[in-house]
Amino acid sequence: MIEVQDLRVTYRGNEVIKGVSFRLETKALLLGPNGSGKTTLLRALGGVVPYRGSARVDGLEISSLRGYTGLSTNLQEAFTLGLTLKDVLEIYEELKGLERQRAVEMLREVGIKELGKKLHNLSMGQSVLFRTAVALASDPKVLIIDEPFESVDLAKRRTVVSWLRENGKEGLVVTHELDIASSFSDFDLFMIFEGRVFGPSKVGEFLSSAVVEGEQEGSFMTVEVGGRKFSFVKGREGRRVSDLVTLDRLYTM
Amino acid sequence: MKLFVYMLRRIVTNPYVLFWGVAFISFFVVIGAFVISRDLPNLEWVKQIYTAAWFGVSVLLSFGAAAVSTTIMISYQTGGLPHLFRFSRLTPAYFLGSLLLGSVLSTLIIGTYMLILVTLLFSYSLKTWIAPIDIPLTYLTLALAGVFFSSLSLILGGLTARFNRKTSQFVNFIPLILSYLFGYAYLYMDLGESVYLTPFNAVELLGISAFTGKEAPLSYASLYLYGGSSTAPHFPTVSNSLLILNLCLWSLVLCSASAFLLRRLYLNPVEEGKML
Repeated sequence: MIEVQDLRVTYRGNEVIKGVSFRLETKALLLGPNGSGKTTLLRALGGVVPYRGSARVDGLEISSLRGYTGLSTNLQEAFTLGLTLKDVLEIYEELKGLERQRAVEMLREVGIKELGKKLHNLSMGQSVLFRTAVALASDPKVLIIDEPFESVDLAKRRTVVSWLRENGKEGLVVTHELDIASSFSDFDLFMIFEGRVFGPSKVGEFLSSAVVEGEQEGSFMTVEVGGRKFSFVKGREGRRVSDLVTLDRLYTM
Repeated sequence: MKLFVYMLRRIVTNPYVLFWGVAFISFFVVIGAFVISRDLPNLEWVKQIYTAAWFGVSVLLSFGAAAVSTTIMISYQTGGLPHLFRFSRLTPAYFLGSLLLGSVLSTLIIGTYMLILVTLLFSYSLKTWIAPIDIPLTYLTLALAGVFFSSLSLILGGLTARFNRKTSQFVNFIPLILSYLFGYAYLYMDLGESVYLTPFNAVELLGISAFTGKEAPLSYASLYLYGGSSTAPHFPTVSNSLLILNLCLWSLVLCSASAFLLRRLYLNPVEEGKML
């Protein structure tokens, strides 16, 4: 279980995550436009950056945690040990209990066969696929997955969707792409705008909803974007979420 | 164990280490053996101390160059350490131990190569067999140098990661800059008792002591090598015990500070700072 209470992350005096609170016992999608604080939130949950407030995994405060192997992430910062793909697999086998054969099979599924390659020489898409496969192949309970579809081609996106659905019991999958969200319609949904997290809701409910400006009675979620409030409602009123393509559209509505 | 093997492989196969730490210093040694030695008087004690000084300075510069790449490697790795300490079996002690052991083995390998190279080239050039005398002290020096340079790299890499990544381009080169500075200062200046203060001079002077089998001169620059007497003159020498103590203390202080820093390490993302 991930429990976050009044979480704040500051870079050089600027608050990037602004007092976020949520509790998560299932797998959830975290949607947000570019620069909204998605990766920073994951970095805080992954213990990579310092935070104020409280962030707990299975009841354990992340800032003082040591040796908890039940959480895996594909964050780039978690892959600084190991030069080649083979190095990373060996080190993660030792440190994270990675099931190496399973990882190799997953990598083959997405066309990564040459393990002698250097991680930093992979294309963006291959790097994302590699890190996601390694994160999932250690059979984690909690997932923290950042933009697993970034620069990944369509056919491989389907494979990644099945990986994310099959692995892990709880956690956050972060994306800014609305079109991929339909593959996770049974997942919980959180949204993040300007360092504030809104939710939870259900992905399926969100995708079939419409967005209207202002606080609407009966809406299942209200978010604040650029100083304006938007409500997500069922029914035909407003603009269909499925027509938005990207959450950045809320800024120009 | 896999992390240690990786660290060792990463250091000894690093192209930067191989070029600047081994190939470039080897070229330097060739110059010392065949060009600079031309005017050397044909005196055994002079040849021996001259060769020993080249061994001392070549291992110092070689390890200094290798430490640059170790610092770069650590600066890069520190981004992932806060996550791995919390969410894997990696502990600061295991990371530190793997790095120290990997560095010590790599300095033993590189040091052995330098020992063989200096012995063969200078013996050939000076037409006298000049071999290292105190082999145990040689390897003790190489091992202590490995611990010192890796703990220096660790603290520098950790500090840049913690406080200011923008200065890392300069900070990474501090081990090499200081190695050249102190290494040549000893050869060309009379540093007196201050050689006991710096670990860089300790590595160099212990290398000289180990090679000659006698305690190194306190001031190499004051030796009248060219046109000197046929027998070795009496000159003030250093205390090897004090030099070993110096290296151990520096390594201990830097290791303790590194361990303290490692436990409180977080990523300091430069890009986000720039954007905000």
